[in-house]
Formats: sequence, C-alpha cells, structure tokens
Amino acid sequence: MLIFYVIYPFIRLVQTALGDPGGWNNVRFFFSNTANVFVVQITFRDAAIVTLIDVVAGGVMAWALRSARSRLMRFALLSAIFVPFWMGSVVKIYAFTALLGRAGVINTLLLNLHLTKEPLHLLYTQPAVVAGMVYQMLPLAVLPMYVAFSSIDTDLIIAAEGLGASRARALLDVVLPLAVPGIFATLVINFVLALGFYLTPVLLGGLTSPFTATLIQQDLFAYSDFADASIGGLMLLAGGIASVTLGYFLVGKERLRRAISA
Amino acid sequence: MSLKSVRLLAFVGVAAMLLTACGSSSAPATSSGPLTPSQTKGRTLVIQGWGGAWTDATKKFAEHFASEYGVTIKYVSSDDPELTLQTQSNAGSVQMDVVDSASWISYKKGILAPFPDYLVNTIKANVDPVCVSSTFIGCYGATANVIACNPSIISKCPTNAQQFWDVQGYPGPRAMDAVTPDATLLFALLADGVSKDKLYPIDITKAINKLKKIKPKVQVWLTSGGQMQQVLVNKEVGIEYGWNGRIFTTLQHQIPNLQVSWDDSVVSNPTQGGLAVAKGSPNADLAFTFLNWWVQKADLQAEWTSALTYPTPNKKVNSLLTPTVLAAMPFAPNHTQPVLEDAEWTFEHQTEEEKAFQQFLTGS
Repeated sequence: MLIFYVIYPFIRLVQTALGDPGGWNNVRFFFSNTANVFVVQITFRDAAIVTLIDVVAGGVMAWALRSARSRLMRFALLSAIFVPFWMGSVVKIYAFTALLGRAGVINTLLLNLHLTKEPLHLLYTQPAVVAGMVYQMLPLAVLPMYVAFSSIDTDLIIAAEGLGASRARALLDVVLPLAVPGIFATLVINFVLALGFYLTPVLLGGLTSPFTATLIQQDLFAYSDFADASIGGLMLLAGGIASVTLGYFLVGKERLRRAISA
Repeated sequence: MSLKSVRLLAFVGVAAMLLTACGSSSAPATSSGPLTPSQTKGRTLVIQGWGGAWTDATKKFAEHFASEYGVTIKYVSSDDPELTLQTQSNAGSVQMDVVDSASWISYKKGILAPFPDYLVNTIKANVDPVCVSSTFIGCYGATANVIACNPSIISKCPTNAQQFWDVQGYPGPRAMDAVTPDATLLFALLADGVSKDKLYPIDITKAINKLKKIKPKVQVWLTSGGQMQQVLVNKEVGIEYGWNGRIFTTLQHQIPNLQVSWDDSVVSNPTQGGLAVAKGSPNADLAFTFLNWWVQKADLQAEWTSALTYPTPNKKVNSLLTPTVLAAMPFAPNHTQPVLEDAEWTFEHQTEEEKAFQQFLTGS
C-alpha cells in the first residue's frame, strides 16, 4: 500500500520534475522565474502567519472548551467549532467574498459608520487570503490542542491558586509547560496543511496574491509545463517534510501521533 | 495465499480493469458524408465551451441538433477551452469532441482534427471565402475587448486607454482582462501612445511598465468571462476592460445604463480561429456531422449572435440581425474599429509573454 500510494507517485513526481524538457536545467529554469521564487516565499511566510494566529486563537478556544463547566457553554463552543468544520470550503470562501467585497458587509459597515470615505480594497489581497485561511483552519487548530489540554488535570490550577498564584500565573507557569508538546504538534500539522492550500488563495487572492498551489495549477492547465508544476510540488513537499521532521525532534513521535489522530 | 495478498491482488485487478475501461475508443471517421439520424441515434457528443452566457447560447442552438439526430449533448465549460484541449492532448487523453472555440494556437500545435472533404465543401457553400479553413470554421466568436463603465458608481467615465490610465481625472476601481495577456498588453501600449499600426511586434517590457503604473488601481484581474459580468454586477469594480459579448449581456440583463466605449478596443482576428473538432476525439465523425449541420443554420446562428454580439459565419446571418445587435458587434461601422490581434505573434511568443505577465501580476 505504502509503495503504491506514496513511493511510486513520489518517484514519478521527481521523474517529471527532472525530465522533459531540460533535465536538471528544469530546476534552474524554475528558480530563474522570479514569480516562482517570490510566490514560494510568500506561501511559506503566509502559512507561518496563519499557523501562528490559528494556534493562539485556537488555544484560547480549546482551553475554554476544556475548562467550560456549564453544558450550554460547552454546546455553544462545540457548535462554533464544528458547524463551520462541516460546511463545505467553497461555501465558506464565498461567504468571505461577500464579507470583503467593495459592496460587501465590512465595507458597508465602515462607510455607514463614516470610518472611511471610500470602500477599502479588501478582496483579492494577501490579508484576505490570510483571513480566509485562518477561518478555514481554526477547527483544525482547536481539536489537537483540545486533546493536549484534556490530559492536563484542572486540579493543578486549583492547587496553584491555593499556593497563592493568580489565575493568569497558574495558567502560564503550570498549564503552558504541560501543553507545550501539544502546541508544537499543532503548529507542525497546521503549517503543513496551510502550505498546500489551494481554494482559498485562488478565490480570495486571485492572480495577484497566489500561493504555490495556484502557480502549480497555472503551470498544469495554462502553460502545460509539467516540469515546473512538479518542482513546485516538490518545494511544498520539502517544506512539509522539514516541518514534520522538526516536530519529531522537538516533540517526540508519540505525542505527534496522538495530536494527529485527534 | 494470505488474506493480505489476496486483497492486494484483488485491488490491483480492479484497478487494471478500471484503467482499461477508461481508455478512449475512437470511432472511424467517415469522409464520404455526414452521418444520418439513424446512425447517430443514442450517441453522445461533448462540446467544450467558454461557460456562462456563451454556453447558454450554444445550448439553445445545439439542442435542435440533439433532438433532430437523437444525440445526447454534454456541455463542458472551462475558462479557456483551448487550454483544456492542450492539457488533454498533452496527457494523451482527449475527452472533448467539439472545441467551442479554438484559436490559431491550437491549429499551429496540430491538435485540431482536419475536416473531411464533405464538410469543407459545405463550409465553402455557406460562408465567405476568408472564413474557410480545413481545421476550423472561422469568423465565429471573434471577441473584442472594450471599456465598460457603470455610471451609477463612477462619476466620470473614461472612453479611451489614456483616460483609463488617468486615475486622478477618472477615479474608480478598475478590472482588466487577464485570461490571455494579449488584449491587455495591447491596451497598455495604446495608452502609452503607440500608434495602431506600430503595435506589432509587441514590446512586452514597455507594455508591462505601463501596466505597473495602473496596477494599484486595478481591483480585480479577471480570470474568466463569467467573472467579467460578476464584478460589474456586484459593484466590485466600476470600470472594466473586458469582452464585448459579456459586457453586452450585462447591459441587456443587469445594468441597463452601462456605458460602453469602443475607442482603443482590440479584437481577435476572425480568420484565426473558430469552431473546431479536437484531434483524437472519441466521436470525431459525430462532431463533423454536427459542424456540417451547424454551418447551414443561419437562423439559429443569428439567435446565438443576438445573445452575445459575437459574429457567426453563415452569409445570411447579418440580414437576420436587429439594428441594436448589429451596432454592438465588433466590426459595426458606427463605432471605432478595433485593432486586430495577431495570433501568429502570440503563438511565437506565448511563453515569453505569459511568464512576463505572471511576474507582473505576482509583483515579482
């Protein structure tokens, strides 16, 4: 199974990348196109930004879920996380189009409150892509962290407060160190997922804010340049492998696996 | 054998069967004459089109053929049917029959099926000689890029390229055609003061430099014909340099006071592309029969043109069109004549042009 689904396609990918029309020159050609280099950089940078925002926001939500006592609160939080998760990605992205458009919700609100004179150019920009991705990936950030947090005994906080710590101090000094492996695991997984995002950058970023996946699509369907597309794919694969390897070393195989299975 | 290896073997067996079943079967092309309805009954024809309003108009047309010949027609759309054909040809698995429509580039790349003699004769009998070719029916779907402006959100509407670039004098968010770079590059050169007879060969660097000046004010770089209509209707932009047919549809159905200017417009050469059949298509003989039927139907072609204002080749079509539609077509005498694009140049410089445009768009 592993050979069929992973190793053979990988070999074919490398073959295509180094095949027609120039062999190893394809790599040089890929990097000589400043658009490719620039977009790969943007992809890695924006994926990192999205991951950081998601882990912070997701961490807060996960902890709220963990320490929620009333059933209503738990229900509200679970719905807030899972209902968007179950909606289709395309629907959510089009909702963002309606939010961010020139005549969309945000601009109408700002204009009516007289906070701006002209509608803001929000759609088809990099911040739009980042916002859309943060929204899409939030459930995926909350779940692994919730698993990590649920293994932390809440009695520890009571004990810390009993010894004189404020709530904030208790969370920072007692809970956070215990949660660090879970947080790192979530960072790694979310970064790898964010690297490969396609729909959100295409629909919210357009041609001027592409991700590597958009470029790969252009290479495949507009330019029929399979070598270029393969190299783009290998770039993303390299990024993903590097992050997971880093995760293994920082966090340990067992915790990473537990976080992924959440 | 262990259970594991039995499962693996079964999986491989099923996979092999599926792969062979998905292979395309090519029917022999009859070169003696078109198929008769009794021969075509029950077959399927795939028409690859531009989507949106274009495909809607083609549907109305082709359904007559479907009922007359007992054929089921599948309408597949993409932002650019020709690119889809190129990708499928490269992959060795052509899944479309009729290419609605193809350009000079497909012809040069040899991915269009040559017409049988009977079809060429029918074409010659029904269209102007300049529209006749052995691989496509020309004078079909020539698309012009024009300036559209929505006066509801734009106080002062630009009417030519230089005004389009004047963001102080004519403020407002703009959208520009990015489906293929040609029209936009030519428009930039016209804005830069290049005279119409000196546009080719296109100085790509000069055009890109001019485009860089207006990039901050371009809200949307359009990737499809449907988007051209959508961004005007949902007021994402107020000024657009887009396809005349889509703009006409918006004018007719959604924004009745849309202002259209033909100054500095650019049009694809009508003799350099048209309706064609994909080489390697699984139903080439049926596709040729369809084209043979299509080229004779002047009334249906007139209906198609009335919906989109793109020309159709039959000699009798112009006499069937209303004055409104005639005035909105690319070569109507009452407005500035558009500059003819040169698809030969595009074929020679495709990669160079596209890479430069891609680098410009991504800001690198």
